[in-house]
Amino acid sequence: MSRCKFAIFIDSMLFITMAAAMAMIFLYAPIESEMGIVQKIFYVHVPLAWNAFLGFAMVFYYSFRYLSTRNPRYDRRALSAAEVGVLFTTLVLITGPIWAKPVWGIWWTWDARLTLTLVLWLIYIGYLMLRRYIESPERRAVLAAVVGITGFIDVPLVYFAIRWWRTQHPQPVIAGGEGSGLDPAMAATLWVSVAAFTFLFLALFGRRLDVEVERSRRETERDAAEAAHAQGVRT
Amino acid sequence: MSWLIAAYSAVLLGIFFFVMRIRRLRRGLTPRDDRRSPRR
Repeated sequence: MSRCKFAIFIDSMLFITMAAAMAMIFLYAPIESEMGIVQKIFYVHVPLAWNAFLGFAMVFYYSFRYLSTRNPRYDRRALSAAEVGVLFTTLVLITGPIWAKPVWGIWWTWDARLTLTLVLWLIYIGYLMLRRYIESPERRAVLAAVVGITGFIDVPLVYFAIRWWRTQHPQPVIAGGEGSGLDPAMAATLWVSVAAFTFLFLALFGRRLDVEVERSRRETERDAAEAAHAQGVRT
Repeated sequence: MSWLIAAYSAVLLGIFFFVMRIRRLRRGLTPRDDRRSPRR
């Protein structure tokens, strides 16, 4: 499938699943008995968090591929995934406190899950800042790949924090073991929302990657033109 | 209800700003003469 057809497929699926997710969230999913309607933030907060993990897993994978092949295409993919991952983590860190204030009575607490998520965000903000400070493309790609790989250590820590330590953050409702679980209508809504946000992630990742590919193509053309000009001046 | 609207608005705004950033980056790549907007 060509890049254009793939983009059309992703955009179509994004439109269909996002429309279905919004309809299910507001028309189908029941209102939670204790928290009330504010619980519906859960249907965007959790998919955003899982797709942020997906983004950082992609940074990890492409950084590894870059270090083993030194092919700049993997560096471009790692950068694009990191940017969308940071966007999604930012939205997780905004929607979480908006849910917490009416439910817990506080915006934020320094528990393991929340603190590690903030650390994760700072790590990948650092990754993006590092890329801006280094001018040499090869050196920038290598150092960024090292940060992208080591930074990923925090992702499993964030995921397992609520299982390993006693936290203020709610206990897992998916894959949480005995005594946990979701109402079937809530679970169906969550999974459709996860699909919608996964397509949103892929659509944004593809758009961001297109810009990097175009930038690289123009830089190659410019370098070739400059080299040809220099050759012409010498002869 | 206002908390819910605040959360969903934040998500929409975040996505909007990211799409605008991509558009800005794309415009930055295009040489000035190639842009569709009329030159002064």
